[in-house]
Amino acid sequence: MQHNRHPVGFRAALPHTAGWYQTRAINPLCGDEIELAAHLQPCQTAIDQPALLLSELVFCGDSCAICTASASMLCAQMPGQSARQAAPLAQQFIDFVHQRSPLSDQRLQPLSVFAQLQQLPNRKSCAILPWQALQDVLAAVNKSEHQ
Amino acid sequence: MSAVISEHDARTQHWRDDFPLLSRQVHGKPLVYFDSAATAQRPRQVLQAMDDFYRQHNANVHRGVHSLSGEATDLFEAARRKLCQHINASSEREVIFTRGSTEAINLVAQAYLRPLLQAGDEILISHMEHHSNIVPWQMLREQTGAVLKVIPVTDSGELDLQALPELISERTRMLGLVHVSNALGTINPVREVCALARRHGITTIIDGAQAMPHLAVDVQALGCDFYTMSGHKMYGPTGIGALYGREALLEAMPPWQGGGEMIRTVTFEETTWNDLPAKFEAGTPNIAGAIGLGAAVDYIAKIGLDAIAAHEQDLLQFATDKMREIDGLRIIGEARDKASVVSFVIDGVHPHDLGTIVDHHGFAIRTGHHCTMPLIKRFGLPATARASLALYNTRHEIESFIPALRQACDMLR
Repeated sequence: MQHNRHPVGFRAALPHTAGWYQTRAINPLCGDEIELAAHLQPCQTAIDQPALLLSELVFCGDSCAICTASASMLCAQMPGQSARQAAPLAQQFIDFVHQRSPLSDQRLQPLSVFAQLQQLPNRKSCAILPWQALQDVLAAVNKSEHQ
Repeated sequence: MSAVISEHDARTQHWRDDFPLLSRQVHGKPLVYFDSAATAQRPRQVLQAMDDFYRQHNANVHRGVHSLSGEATDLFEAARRKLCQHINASSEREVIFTRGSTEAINLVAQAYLRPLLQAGDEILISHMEHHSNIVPWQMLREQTGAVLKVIPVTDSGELDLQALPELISERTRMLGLVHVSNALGTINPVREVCALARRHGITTIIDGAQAMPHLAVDVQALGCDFYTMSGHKMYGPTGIGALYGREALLEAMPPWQGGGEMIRTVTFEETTWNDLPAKFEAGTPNIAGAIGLGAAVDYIAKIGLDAIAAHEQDLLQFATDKMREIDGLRIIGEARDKASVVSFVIDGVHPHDLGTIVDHHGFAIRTGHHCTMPLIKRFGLPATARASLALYNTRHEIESFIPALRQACDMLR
């Protein structure tokens, strides 16, 4: 409820300056629609290889409390990850919501509150939407890097 | 609870008693079913008719010479006859059984309009259509190069009749209009629109899925060319509906789907088509479904649509007045002529969260875009909550809904 009322990373509009990548995600079953923007900046890993670091995440849109809270927690927990690590972490959360596997990564532990969705199976897609959006934006960045 | 409310509800309690599912509980609370626009509940008379068919008369229709097949055929065709009389079609040949209103619209799009359309021809629909009366025409647009034009909707959720004449041109071939909006409850002036269309030589198709449970429908009086119906919206089973089409149009149309039943003779060189209505009913039909639909028609006719409409209009006014007392609640769709559907939003409360919370109090409402995404977007909303009322709902249920709404607001605001 706290994350719904005071969402981390919520903006009236997404930034479009250098380093920001945007995506839009819609849940066609219910009409939830969010836009997510990720700021990625180059960094050097410990083994001196270039990588992209997810430095900030923001979102906007009109969505239900569960989707808003999930997006807020995404924006709170994911900055500081490399782009390469972030996509599997997103999948870990999605799998957790679908009860396919537990939340093993420490960074995702605050999201264990979404275990309550087992009692609200119709609302799982609301929680997953922002994380699918993160996967989409990372995939798009990855694709443009390889082109 | 006031004595006046109890007395009011007592008059319709015997209707409610016909619906076995209404006695169940949800999350330990009595079910209050406010989602009849999504699907209505089925009275025991419909369930009995279908059960009887499967237990006593089950056989395939039309083709057998044995007695059981004759019985099944009689029951199936009796259902068609009932529906024909119910909508005042001039002949049973004009009533085609389909899976529902959606399939009926697709049938008309592909079998009636597609052969006639040239690139640049126009199809006119309204901004308040259900996706089933939008997407088939969009698909036709892709197939033929036709143009789709949209009649606007006013802020009160009514058809903008002033804009309509300007949208008609000499290229307009079809006008599709929903009779009763599932999202807003608006009852459209179908007779007037069909008269206008006729003056311009435009064929009309009316989506009657939500109208059939609430209004008396007389297709000849309405003056439409096609009218679509959905069994499960009118207390019948799922998987069955019907298309009414004027006989002359249906006669001239090529078949929709090919297979058994719709043929007269088959050789590998040439196949000839069966007469109406069989021409458009390929394969073994949903026999039990049609019989159930016939029983639903009987059920509605026995109570009488006047009595149903009077009850539902009372509930609509009662619900509207009560809900307007909630701070920040806005009703979406305030047409002068409405069926018993209340779509609403509450400031600071997302419809999905509202729906989840009231569900825990036993209330089944619908939230989302109601398969009318363009319409909901036109009102600048991501979604609405919708309470849709039927003959088995009561003032007591509406009274008990208000505290549940208030609690949801307290939790979420």
